[in-house]
Amino acid sequence: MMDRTRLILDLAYSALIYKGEEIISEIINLEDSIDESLVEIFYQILEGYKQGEISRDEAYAYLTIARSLEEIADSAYVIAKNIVHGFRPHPIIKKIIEESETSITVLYIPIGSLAVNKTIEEVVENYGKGVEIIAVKTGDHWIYKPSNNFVIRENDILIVKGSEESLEEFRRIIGAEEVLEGGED
Amino acid sequence: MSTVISPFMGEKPLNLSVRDIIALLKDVSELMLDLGLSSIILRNEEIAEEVLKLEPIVERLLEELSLKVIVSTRSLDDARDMVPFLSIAEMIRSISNSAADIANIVLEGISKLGEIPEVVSEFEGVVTVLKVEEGSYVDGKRLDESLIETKTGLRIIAIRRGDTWIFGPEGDEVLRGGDIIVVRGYKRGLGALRDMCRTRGEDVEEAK
Repeated sequence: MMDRTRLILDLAYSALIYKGEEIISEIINLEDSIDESLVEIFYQILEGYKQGEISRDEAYAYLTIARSLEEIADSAYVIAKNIVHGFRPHPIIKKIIEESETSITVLYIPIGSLAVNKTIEEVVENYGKGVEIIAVKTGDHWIYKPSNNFVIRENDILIVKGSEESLEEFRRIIGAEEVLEGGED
Repeated sequence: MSTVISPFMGEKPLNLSVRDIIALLKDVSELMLDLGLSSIILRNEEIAEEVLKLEPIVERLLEELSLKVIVSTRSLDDARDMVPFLSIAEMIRSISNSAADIANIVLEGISKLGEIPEVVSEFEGVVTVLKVEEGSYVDGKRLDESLIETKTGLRIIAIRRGDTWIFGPEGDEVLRGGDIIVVRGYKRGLGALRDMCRTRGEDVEEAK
């Protein structure tokens, strides 16, 4: 839950500051999964307390932490929602986005991509000068700020930050597909 | 570029653009969350205290953002356009409050508690704080001379000097005894950095 909360906050701010509306749908997915985790954590803690495995103080601490994380995720979601829905884009927001040299994009790694079975370090050094992989979704699991020796697999989803040109070149060289808004769930 | 901010700058405008303010709010509130999470994982009260010290910085930046928004509003139409900014500011305040709640749990004595359920605690990499002691190896050295990053793999993301914060310090920033440095990276580099920040001859307190 910590990893996902950290990721959703980064994504929401990124959506605010950089170009890239594709990440909004990932933010919505993440918010859902964090909400589900909160429910699961509540049940686990209640059960643990009932069984006498955790003390009252512990239950209080864990619940507070989990609830705070969920609140942060909620706030991140509202930030993201403000950017795309409900309001006319304000000139300042537009200017912020247009001035930004950094973009953020969501890439899908298909079978046969050059990135498959390579570590983040190899991929970035060989094909991605100037890009930063900020998160990887592998199966249903999100990894925030993956370490250099994390191995990319087919069907993974990468969230990548960089200039628009370097992102496009990176996508082309490794043979990844852009994930369009709403196109993934 | 590094940014220096103190909550006691008074009425003086910060001379930052809206974009700069939002970018800084992003950095500061993310740092609060990182420090909060790391304080739980490392069971460290000092780190939790740094979270609370960042709260006034967030308040100062939010105040500045509100002022800019008010100044640029001249009509009802403008006002309508500005609503997202107020909403975003409110959300950032709520994020900062939640990070402080997490830190307070640690300050209330989490070290007495057992293992945190895994579903809560999955988190890679840590952010931690260290004090630069007077007369230590890094005292008086420029960041780029100190070779901290090369030797430990840890990166200094902020420095607190009394009430003043320096975010994203540049290589020519000189470390001084008494500085609190905020570093990001993996636990394995921490021992080496601790030695670099410690006055020689003192007892080595092992990290738990």
